[in-house]
Amino acid sequence: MAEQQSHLTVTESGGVTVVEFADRKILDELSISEIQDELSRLVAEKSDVKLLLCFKNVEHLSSAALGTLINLNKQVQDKRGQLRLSDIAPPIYEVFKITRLNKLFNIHATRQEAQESF
Amino acid sequence: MNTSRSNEEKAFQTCVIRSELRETQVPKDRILDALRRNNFDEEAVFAVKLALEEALTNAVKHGNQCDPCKCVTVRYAVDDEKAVIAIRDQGAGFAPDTVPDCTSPERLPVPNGRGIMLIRAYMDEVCYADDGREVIFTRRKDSTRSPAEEGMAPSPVRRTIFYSGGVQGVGFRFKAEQIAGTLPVTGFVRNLVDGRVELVAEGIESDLDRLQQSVQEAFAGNIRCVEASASPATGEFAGFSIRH
Repeated sequence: MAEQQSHLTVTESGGVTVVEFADRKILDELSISEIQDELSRLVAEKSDVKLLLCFKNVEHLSSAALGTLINLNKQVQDKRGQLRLSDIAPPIYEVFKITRLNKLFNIHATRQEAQESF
Repeated sequence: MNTSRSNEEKAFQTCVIRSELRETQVPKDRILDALRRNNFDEEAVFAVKLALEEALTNAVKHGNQCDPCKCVTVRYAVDDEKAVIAIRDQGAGFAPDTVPDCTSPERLPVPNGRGIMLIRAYMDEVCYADDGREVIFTRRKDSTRSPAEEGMAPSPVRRTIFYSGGVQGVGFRFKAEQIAGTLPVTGFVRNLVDGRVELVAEGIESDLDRLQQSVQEAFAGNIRCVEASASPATGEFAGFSIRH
């Protein structure tokens, strides 16, 4: 088995943990469960986390990825943190709209807008 | 219009995979290649990719429960008009209509259960066969579908049709089976002792209309009376066949 590469790029910016996805497709269950593990670790590290997921590079995602986001949202809330999503491409945003998850998540057009909303 | 001819010529390719998620890449790649060869636009490719991902994951995980002794059979036909994909597992089956609405307020925070509705939202036609072990979906090339606004694809229904007149001993059932074979419908056709022919088909309304119309045209001189009734689809049929 090849050495496992991180699926995420994590940076700290003004008290906000900004996560970008390395994969353009968040589809298959294996990488999704790895992404979930990486994100869970981030949230577990600190309480009151301000977490921003930037979807700039993401071109596709599946319902399993939506499930991961829902779980993450719960984890963040349990730790009294806040979660924002940004830069979701129109076809992907459509998936959020169809599933009405655009109502569950706090979604912003740009990373900057999302960062200012904390 | 040569729609019916191109339907009849449509040959399904088959790809059988083991019940492992990484195996699903093979049919995905083949089908998406076929879409691109037929110049489907990126929106259609996105839609089919999503539906394939959801349906194959369901077949491997929920249908076959990742059982290594079971396999998933993918059949697909892509031409200049549409892509038709059928995915069958060897699991216990399920009743698609009993899956709860994942957009209801109490289900919204539940992490799973969105695959089926995404397939319905992105495909032009979706139907289930063989007690839910097979899902058959179609995306038309010229689809103007906007999933978020139009909501779900039409659900399949059952149509029971009784034909009376000189309908037995004239090749009625064979022709009906042949016509049904060109459409994404399931069910059966049989002779009744009272001289009538009973045809039961499940699929979406527009395909059932096409079936009914084609049968009617083929036997216009034989049919004296047609009685048709609608009821909810059961997904109990594996295909369309003649019953004796």
